[in-house]
Amino acid sequence: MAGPVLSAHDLLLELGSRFRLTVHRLEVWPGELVGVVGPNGSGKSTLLRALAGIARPACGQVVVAGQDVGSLPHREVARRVGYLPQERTAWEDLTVAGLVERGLYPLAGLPAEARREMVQAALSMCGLADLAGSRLSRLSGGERQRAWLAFVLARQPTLLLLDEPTAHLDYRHQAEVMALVASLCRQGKAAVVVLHDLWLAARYCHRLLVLSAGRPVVDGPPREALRPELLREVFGVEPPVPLADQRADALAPAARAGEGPADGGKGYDHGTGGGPDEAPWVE
Amino acid sequence: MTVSAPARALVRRPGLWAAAGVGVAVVLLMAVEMMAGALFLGPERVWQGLTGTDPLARQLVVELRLPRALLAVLVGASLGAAGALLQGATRNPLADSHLLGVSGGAAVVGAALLAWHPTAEPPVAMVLAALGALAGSAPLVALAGRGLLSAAGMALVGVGLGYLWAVVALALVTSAGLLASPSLSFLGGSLSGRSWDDLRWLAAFAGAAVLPAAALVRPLDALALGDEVARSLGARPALARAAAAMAAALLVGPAVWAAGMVPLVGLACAQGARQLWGHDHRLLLPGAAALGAALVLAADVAARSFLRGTELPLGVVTACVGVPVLVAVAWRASWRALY
Repeated sequence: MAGPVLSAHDLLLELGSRFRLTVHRLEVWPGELVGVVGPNGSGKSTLLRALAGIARPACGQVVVAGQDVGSLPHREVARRVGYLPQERTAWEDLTVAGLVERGLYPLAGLPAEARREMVQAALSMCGLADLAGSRLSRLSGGERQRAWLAFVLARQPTLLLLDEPTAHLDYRHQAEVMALVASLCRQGKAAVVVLHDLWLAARYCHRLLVLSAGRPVVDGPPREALRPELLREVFGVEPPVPLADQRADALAPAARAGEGPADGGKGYDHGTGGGPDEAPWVE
Repeated sequence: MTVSAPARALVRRPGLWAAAGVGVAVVLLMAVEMMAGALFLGPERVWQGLTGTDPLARQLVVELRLPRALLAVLVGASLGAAGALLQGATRNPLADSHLLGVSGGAAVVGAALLAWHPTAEPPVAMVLAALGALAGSAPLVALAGRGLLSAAGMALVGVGLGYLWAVVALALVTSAGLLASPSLSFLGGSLSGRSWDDLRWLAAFAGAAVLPAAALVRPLDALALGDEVARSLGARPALARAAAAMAAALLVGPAVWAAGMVPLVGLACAQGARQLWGHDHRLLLPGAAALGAALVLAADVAARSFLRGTELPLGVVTACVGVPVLVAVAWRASWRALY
């Protein structure tokens, strides 16, 4: 793809009279995994809702794959953007395949055979092919998050917006989910992921957007974004470990020359893939 | 093997057997409904009545028992489907037209008509009852939309609201000096004394609700995953909720006008359908309607045969089925909340 998957300009969102979120400029390129971090109430989820076209900004524009999100019907946005909100529920006796099938809602009118294939593709992408018939109540926390990821992936969006996909998971399962997202990005998706765990953010994200009180303080590689003095300022506590050494940008191949924006290119090419972060179930 | 897994998950074989079983039950219960009564008619005489060769049997079967059986089917199907619609719209397994004030709102209108304008024709009366049903449930459906109530909290407020409407209805019929059998059968539920004309109009209203209900199948499936997830899929939760409330009112209002208050059919049947056919509204809505038809038919047969010479109110019998289901669902919900 020639341009960024997502670009947002001069966004202003107001929630009541107290809270406002301003993002001057945000671009996400194919293959990029962007983390959004920041304290509670800094506007992470609001930003994701705006990027997904659900919260309509007071001014500014969100463009996904060349289309202005604000002018597209909801379903058209949903086809392009796989937004996974934090708040989600499902009947516990729903099967994994049943849940994933419901992710095809924006693609109304698709023949049954195509639907089945898309569900199957999403399930195997998330390593859930064997659990298709299992009820949600039987899944582990990690499997459950992967089922929700498959739900989002079923409609084959170009952009993933994931709000805390690792919430309530132990460390192994958190790493599992993030490795899966990273491998999806290597296959050409772009993802914006809200994370609380800075270590995970440093390890898996190519770029971090640090939000504080409704505005971005940094948008850059983890090394730059997770400087101790900045974290101290944003979170008000000492950072626990030297995070900057865990960065994924050190592992990532060099930025694609000439394609990225003027400020140094933010597109990543993950053709080589592999490495320690490769999800074990991906062939 | 894995290729067939989603297909297997979507169409479960036991579901087909259950559907066939419910269908057979409805047919058998209709037959019983036409045989049973003050004068028992064997299958042969029922047939003679239907074909018109036996004048007395014809009088009993065609004028009284057949419309009554069909009324039971329509009322039951309407209440069952409305229960499934309301459960989907409020994302509450305890939702029921009786517990959300839908029936209550219709009952107030019905009582007012009974008190002030007893000669109201079916179409007008049914439209008014549907509007009453919509108004009766509006407070709760709006609260559900804002996510202000838990499942149990909503049921609790709904019970209170239901009491309020029932008391208003009772006050209306009492003030008109109508404490005799028509008002009692209205408040307790009864299928007696309805004409073919009433039945035709009821069928028309139920038929008019089929289209919006069919259009709501996929939005309600999306809504089950939470409002925000539904929005992320491109569905519009507030719109779907309002449409579901209107469709439910269209089903419940006329049914309450025709048969009075028949509580907990929606709750019991929607829950039963979930157990038998899963949570997919494509199967859930017709399934709940079919179970509702069977339940109200069975309840009417029971209501007519328990006491010799008189009838139990229909609501007494459906409550006997609905209350255990209500308790079981609430029990399971609280059990789950502990974990």
